[in-house]
Amino acid sequence: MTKRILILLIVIISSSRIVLVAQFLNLQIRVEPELSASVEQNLDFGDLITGTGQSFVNLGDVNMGIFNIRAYYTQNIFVTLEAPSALIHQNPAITDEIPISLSIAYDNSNLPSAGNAIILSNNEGLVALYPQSEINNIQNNQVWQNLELYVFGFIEVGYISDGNYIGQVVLNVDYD
Amino acid sequence: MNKLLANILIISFFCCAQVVGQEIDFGSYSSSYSVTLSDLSPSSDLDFGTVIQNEGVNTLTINDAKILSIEGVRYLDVIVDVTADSYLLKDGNPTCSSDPSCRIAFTIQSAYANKGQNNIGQAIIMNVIGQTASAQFPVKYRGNAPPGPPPTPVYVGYNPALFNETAYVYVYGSINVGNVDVGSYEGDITITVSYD
Repeated sequence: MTKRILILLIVIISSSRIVLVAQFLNLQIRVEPELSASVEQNLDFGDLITGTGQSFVNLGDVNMGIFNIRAYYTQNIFVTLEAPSALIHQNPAITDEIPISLSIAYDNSNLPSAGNAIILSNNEGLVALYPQSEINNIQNNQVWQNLELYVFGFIEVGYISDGNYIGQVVLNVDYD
Repeated sequence: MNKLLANILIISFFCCAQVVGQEIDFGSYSSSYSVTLSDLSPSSDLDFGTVIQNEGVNTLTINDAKILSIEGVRYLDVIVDVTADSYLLKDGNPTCSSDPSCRIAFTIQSAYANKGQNNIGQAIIMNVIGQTASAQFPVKYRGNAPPGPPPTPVYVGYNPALFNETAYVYVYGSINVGNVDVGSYEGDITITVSYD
């Protein structure tokens, strides 16, 4: 009998709640990547003649290699450039090589340019996406920052076989 | 004789369908009274700002809350339920509800202010069970005063504005962003209001 009473009460209370109004809010969020990297421009030494000797692409030259990294402005990254010591012929049967020496520099200012770039010693280093000295002045529309990395250097072309010589440069970016 | 009378009373109590407690339930008669729930800033959403992968917990406090107003008869109680999805799903895709790579956990919080002002300093945090924050309160706070008189019946020329007051509901919460896919995530929050 007690159980019956309880059920009856619940029904009555429920029926007295008249839902009159409702509102619906749609919650939307855009999730951005923590970090993205892209090749803006390949490093290009151009066409060279056998026995040319040293050929340079200097920091700021139009044919230097450019990487772009986009990340949240508070991000710090550790950059490592892995470059081969020599370019090898596209034909594996040819053992001639072109010695190569590369360096890397970065600019994390609002308007990145090679002219203000800082060279990383040993082709590695910790880089802030945005200058720490200006981090308190950041505007809302600047929270995503672009960092440019410039790759430059020289090759030494001896008396070698004709053809295409290639090598792969890898940029490692470590971040929290 | 007294025993017989007691038996008759008990039997009549269960025979009749009208079980009446000591509460006068004005909600039973309130269909004539309107209540309005409005979004004070419909053009803005709960804004978590820039959200990035693996960000962790991102919390909006009551200072950043979405604010809704409840306009109703000042001496009636309203029951407010704020219910949110447990997860925001990538592109609203329901299959993501079981996929940690494309869902973001959302925790709802809510509060109300019923002292006639939109003032978070007067807000009272609602109890949350699961993903529903609930509260029952008079549209106009009466403190320790006894409940007001019964609502004025609707009559010809009845002007509800004379008896209405506005209370405010604050909706906020937190998200927990793990190693999820980049993209757009969405979920719904439903706010219902009824007279008690």
